[in-house]
Amino acid sequence: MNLGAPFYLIGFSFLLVPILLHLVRQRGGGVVDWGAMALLEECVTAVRLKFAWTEVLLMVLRLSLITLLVLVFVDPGVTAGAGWDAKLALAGLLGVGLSGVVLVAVGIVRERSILLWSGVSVLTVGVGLLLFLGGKEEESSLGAGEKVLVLLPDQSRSLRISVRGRSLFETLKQEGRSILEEAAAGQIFLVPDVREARGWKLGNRTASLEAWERLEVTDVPFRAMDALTGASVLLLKAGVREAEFYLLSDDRLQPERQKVGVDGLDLGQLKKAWDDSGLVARLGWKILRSAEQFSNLAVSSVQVSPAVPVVGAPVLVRAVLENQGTVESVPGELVLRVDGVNRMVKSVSGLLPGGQTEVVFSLSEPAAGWRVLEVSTPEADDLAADNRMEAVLKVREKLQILVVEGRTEAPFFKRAGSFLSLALAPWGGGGGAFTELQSKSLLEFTEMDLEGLAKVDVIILADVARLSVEAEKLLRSFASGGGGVLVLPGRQVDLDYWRAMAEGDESLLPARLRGLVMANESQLKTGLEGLERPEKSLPVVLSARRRLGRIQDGGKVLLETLTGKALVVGHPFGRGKVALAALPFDGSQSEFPQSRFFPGFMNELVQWLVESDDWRLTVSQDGQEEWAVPLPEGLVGRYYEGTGEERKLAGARRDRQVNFKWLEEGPLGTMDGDWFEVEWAGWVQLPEEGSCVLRVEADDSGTLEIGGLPGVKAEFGRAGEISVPPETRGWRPLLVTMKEGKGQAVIRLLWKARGSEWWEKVPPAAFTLADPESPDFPKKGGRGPGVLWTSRDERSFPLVLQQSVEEGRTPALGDEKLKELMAEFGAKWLKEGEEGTFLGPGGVRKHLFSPSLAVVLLGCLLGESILRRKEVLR
Amino acid sequence: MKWVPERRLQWQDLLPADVLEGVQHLELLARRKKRGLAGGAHRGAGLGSSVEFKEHREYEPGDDLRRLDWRVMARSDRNVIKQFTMETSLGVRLVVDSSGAMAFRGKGVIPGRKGGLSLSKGRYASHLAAVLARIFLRQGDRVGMEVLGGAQAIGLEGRPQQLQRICRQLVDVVFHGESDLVEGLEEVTHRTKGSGLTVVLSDFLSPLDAGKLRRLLAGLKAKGQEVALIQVLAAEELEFPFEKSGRFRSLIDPKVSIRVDPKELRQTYLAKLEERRLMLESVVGKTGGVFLTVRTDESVSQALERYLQRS
Repeated sequence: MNLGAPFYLIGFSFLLVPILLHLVRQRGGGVVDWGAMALLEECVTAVRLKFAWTEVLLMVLRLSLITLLVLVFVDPGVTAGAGWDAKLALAGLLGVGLSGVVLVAVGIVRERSILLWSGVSVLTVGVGLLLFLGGKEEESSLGAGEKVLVLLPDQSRSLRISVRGRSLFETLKQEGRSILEEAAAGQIFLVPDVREARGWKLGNRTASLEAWERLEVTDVPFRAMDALTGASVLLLKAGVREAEFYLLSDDRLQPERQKVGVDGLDLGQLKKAWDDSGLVARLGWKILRSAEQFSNLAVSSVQVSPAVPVVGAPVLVRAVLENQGTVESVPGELVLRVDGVNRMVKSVSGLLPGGQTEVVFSLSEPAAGWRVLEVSTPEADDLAADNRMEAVLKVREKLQILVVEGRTEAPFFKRAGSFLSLALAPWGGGGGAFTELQSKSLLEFTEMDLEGLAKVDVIILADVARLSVEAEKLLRSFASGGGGVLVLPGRQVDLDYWRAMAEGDESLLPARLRGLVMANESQLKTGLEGLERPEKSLPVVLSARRRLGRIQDGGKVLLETLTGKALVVGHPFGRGKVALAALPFDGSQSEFPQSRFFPGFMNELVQWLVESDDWRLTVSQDGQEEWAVPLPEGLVGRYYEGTGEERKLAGARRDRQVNFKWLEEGPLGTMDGDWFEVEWAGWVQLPEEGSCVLRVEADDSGTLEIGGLPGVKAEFGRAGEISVPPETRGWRPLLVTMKEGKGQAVIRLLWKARGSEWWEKVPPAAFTLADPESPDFPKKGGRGPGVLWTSRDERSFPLVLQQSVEEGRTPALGDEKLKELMAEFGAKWLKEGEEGTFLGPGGVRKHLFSPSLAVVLLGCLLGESILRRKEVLR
Repeated sequence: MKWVPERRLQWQDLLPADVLEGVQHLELLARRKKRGLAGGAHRGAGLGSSVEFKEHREYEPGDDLRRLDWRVMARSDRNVIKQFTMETSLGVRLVVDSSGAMAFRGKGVIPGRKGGLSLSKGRYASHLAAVLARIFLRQGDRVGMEVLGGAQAIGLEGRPQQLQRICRQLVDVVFHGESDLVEGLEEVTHRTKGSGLTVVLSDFLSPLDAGKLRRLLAGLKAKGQEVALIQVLAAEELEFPFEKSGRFRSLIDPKVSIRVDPKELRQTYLAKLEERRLMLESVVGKTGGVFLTVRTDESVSQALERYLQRS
């Protein structure tokens, strides 16, 4: 009970009425300045004292009546169990009707007009109440049309189960349809709309029916509490103050721990939220009975070890297959696909209901890069959606690294190369096995020669003062030949020499050292002030015309400080890459102290130098207790053979961009070039500044959806465009689909962003596979490098409240607890598979609220007038 | 019905032309003969030196020889003294109650005046007193005035300037506070010498002890004073027409107020009022005086006419 809630305030404000009435009667009213007071007093002195007492008594009576009424009608916490509302309404009606009739009768018999009229008024109120309860609820105190009906469908995959030849989801849709159709004209609805990237929209019946028809089963588990709170927030933001929520779900447990329909549904918390926010809401639900017998094999977990695999080394993929159905499964097989290609098949025996088995695949990847792993069972069952699981992992090269020591004079522990060797220690992410990602050899500067470099992947120049002419030539040819060069200057470098290396079009270095930090001896601070990136004029070819003079960046910033000072900058050089780091690296002096950040970062940095792939390094700004994790650029593309209902998943892989043209051949090895569908899902980072328009082009049919915005369609060469408003920039969920019929297949995702006037292909750096909201996303407190899950991420409702709900999430409720809660809520609990409706605080009681107050006040006035007549007569 | 103070008047305003016109024809005569010093329009009880012959009597030594009826003496040889009716001037005391209750103003409208609140009872009494004073003075009577619980009394005088003095005093009266009618009248009685007329103007609604009042009036009568009690009441006080319940606030002490439902109270109140009237009438009747109730919404001349008819 929260007495600060708006309804209490409104209700208790009525307490002022009796008090004012009392004061007015005491002090105000007609005043007659009378002369012959003595004579008058002789007439009334006897009754004056009694008068005041009854007045106070009356006021107290009225105050307590109103208090009682407010408590009863506003706070559903004071409930007496099921069916209480209906009883109350009936009792109230009877009471009002009876008292009205009695008053009228007495009025007629006694020939008292006041009684007669009071009786008539009471009867009128009674009739009004009857009308309220008789289904004219739209015409509530808020006015017709302001009450919003919110339909919350469970779209989780368990709804795919068929009962008597009809999927539960079809039944659910039918239920929702009938609710929509039966609702009053002019009613406003809130229904989810999958076509608008899980957007929610207030709409009239026609629009809502359309959105309802478009509903599909998704892989998103149904979070009723999220849905309820999220929708409540949406409504409040839209200025709606009265709503009815209708929950549609099934009675199935999907994965063991997730109770479908009621997961995390804390009605007490919800009620309090409604009370606090002033939303007058009620909740109804329909639980569909699932099939008695159904088969469901599910891949319930996939684990990859080591989490950071190396090229050529064995990788173990452990998959758990579970029988979540009610019948014994037939023996079958489990398939491992990598990037859409079948790699391994293992047979599994039949499982009893509830049984599970672990299957281990041993894999060895021949090349570095990102892989999309799929474990699936091809067996057909009633719930096919959980038969596969996807994971994304990165395979690293084992590198040969040559560290060139510049501080040859210094003692061992003061040497830069020593420190780097430590920094490049084996590492792993997420608590998994540690992986030796490179073999290192230390070299004195003077020993460097071409023959020695043949087997080397990366050369690190650690605080080398300057290079000889031969050495520089050697380094250039090494880098342009495909090697990686990392320059780590220290306090003994020749500043002018290295600055000169950043000049000109053929510059070896991507950036210029700002200078040395001059620090006093006692502090022993290092001496690098960060990097500046010289801007370069590069020729850019755009369509047929050759355009010159566009300014391009000097290099890609791989690491920067909190203040935005570039610390590591890299650029491609020939076929290789060169990076320059203004990083302190002897451990004694550092903006980034030696922490687990440093090895992680160095490991990833040397990987970056040799990978043809590009990636974004995400590190925390404070550099403390963080992983440096490469964020996979691109999107997960899921390829389907066939179209529409008939389509079959052929495989999934990572696509760095959406820019394809398939002529004869199919997009995946085994696929045909005609009749297929592709879905690219992931996240896109939309620049915060300037205009931003996205465009999808497809020869047959393509769609583009960005989270929270209406989707668009491209058909037969006609493009679809979305102009993204500034408030929905940043990381947004993205879904691009294409449907291909016959002939060549073309799809392109373009944008105009950052003030550009041309349509440009959305660069890979703008995409990522990982959900920035998911716990797997590299961020502070998040997981280290390793496997990123794409198919089990639980992005349910992209709504504001989600985070707070997650923080305050209550443990999933058991059946009994839920029943208890609902009973406490004044609900009529029915068995699963049946229907239940429940009136929340805004139900009948709310509608009775104001008439009841009116009745009480009227009664007070009436009683008072009767009392007064008695007391004045002597 | 909030009380609003009345406009302050000039002394002349107490005798407006229309009122004077209305009373011009009225000749006020005292019902009883009075002895007086100066000659006046009233016949004295004794014999005087006027021209109107009354009777003869035998001469007694010491009689004024000038009064011998020489003709009778010559004809019948009897010493007869010619006696004439003595024309006396009347001593009229006007007593005005100045209690706060007299400040009451009703809604009744005086004929010929526009709406708003009527004259207060006190102002009406002042008008009455002023007109009475004028009439008596014009007849050569001596007129004095007393304000109960108020300003200094004005002694009996017959000079024409007396009217102005009385009127000035009347407009200065502030009807305020409490005044004990009986006590005030006792003081007046104490001061009164000889016969005359005492006119008391009040609402007579304050608490009154009937016995005391009767003794008082008897005392006045014994002194040869004729007494007239003129009860000035507002229409509201007579009819109690209030409908809505509300507060009645005392004009005597504004802190005192009572809340009543007038509809329920009316019968009781009117009964009380009637009781009071009967009491006053009986007391005054026993002492041979005049009791008269006037309403503030009737014209002054009408009221005077009624008074004269009664006396």
